[in-house]
Amino acid sequence: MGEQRRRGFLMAVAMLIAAPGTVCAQTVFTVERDGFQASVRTLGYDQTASFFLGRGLPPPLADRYARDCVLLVVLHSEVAKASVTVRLGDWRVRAADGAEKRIRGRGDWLAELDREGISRAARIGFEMVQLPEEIDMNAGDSIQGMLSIPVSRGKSFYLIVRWKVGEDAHEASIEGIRCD
Amino acid sequence: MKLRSKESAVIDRRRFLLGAAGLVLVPAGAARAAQPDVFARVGQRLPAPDFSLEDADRKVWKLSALSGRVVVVNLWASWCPPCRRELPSLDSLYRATAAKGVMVLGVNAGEPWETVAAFTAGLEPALSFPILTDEKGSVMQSWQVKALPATYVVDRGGRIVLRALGGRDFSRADAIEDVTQLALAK
Repeated sequence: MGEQRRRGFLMAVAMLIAAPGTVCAQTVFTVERDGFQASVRTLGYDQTASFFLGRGLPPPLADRYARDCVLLVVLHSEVAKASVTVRLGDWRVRAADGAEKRIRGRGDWLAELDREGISRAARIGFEMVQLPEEIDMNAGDSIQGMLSIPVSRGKSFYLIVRWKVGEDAHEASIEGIRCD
Repeated sequence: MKLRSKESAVIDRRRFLLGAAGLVLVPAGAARAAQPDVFARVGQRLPAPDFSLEDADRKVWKLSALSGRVVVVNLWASWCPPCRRELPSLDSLYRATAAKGVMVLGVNAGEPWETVAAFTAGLEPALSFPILTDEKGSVMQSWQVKALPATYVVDRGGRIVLRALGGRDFSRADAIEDVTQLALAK
């Protein structure tokens, strides 16, 4: 992937960071291979909780979501030869002790919201900002969303990112992510 | 940072400061030359699920009533940065294709009308295509939209034929040409 395009992608991430509704910039990690890019940025507790409080989520739920590590993920494909499929169920988190955990996806959280009887408007707002659990991307597509990581703030972990280009499976691991 | 991967990959660790966001601007024309088309063809051309939503003047827009015209449906929300960025270019697409019978509908997903109105009122220049509100998220559900922004082009026969997930520059020539060709198709 050309430097020009890579810089364009990073600019998009930077603009996302600088946009109203998001708060100050933190660490960004980018995985890039053969036209597929995944960028993750850690989100602070306050910005995460206040984002959901502002969209009608009750304080206990906003707190519960924001307490663990939360990432803002941007996926982008410029793969022309086949569609790229990303399934969050294939992603894993590896904590410092080596234990692997699955990602807590949109469906898990929505089930919790339903149990709490959350209003439809708040539910829609919540759902749409979560990274989809499965997505097919064509060349030029970008997907962004939040991801809840079952690791306490202050602790480092690896994020194992998996995707498919057609039937070909790919994997990369990002080391040293930590939410403060 | 170490990379642990089965294949070679590049992992960049970047520390962005808020003020640095404007320092990495890429000339739009230079980046555009190598970019994929704005719209991707949809493999299975399914009929677009119908909807009936109101605009700011409480005028009801029913998708099926626009049968025979090409309709660009853009789903967005005011809290979504790429949605906000692409709206002006969507307006450019509308202005460039309206004379050929193309309609653009901006469907706000899940926000109350007051929020939508406050946001659109602050846009300069104002949008010239209708903004509809879908506070209950019914279109998101029936169109199975997983993330915002999402843009679909419905052909004159009412089928979804093109799509774009994520923010785009709809003022690009290839986007205008794709939509125009659909409008001119017999």
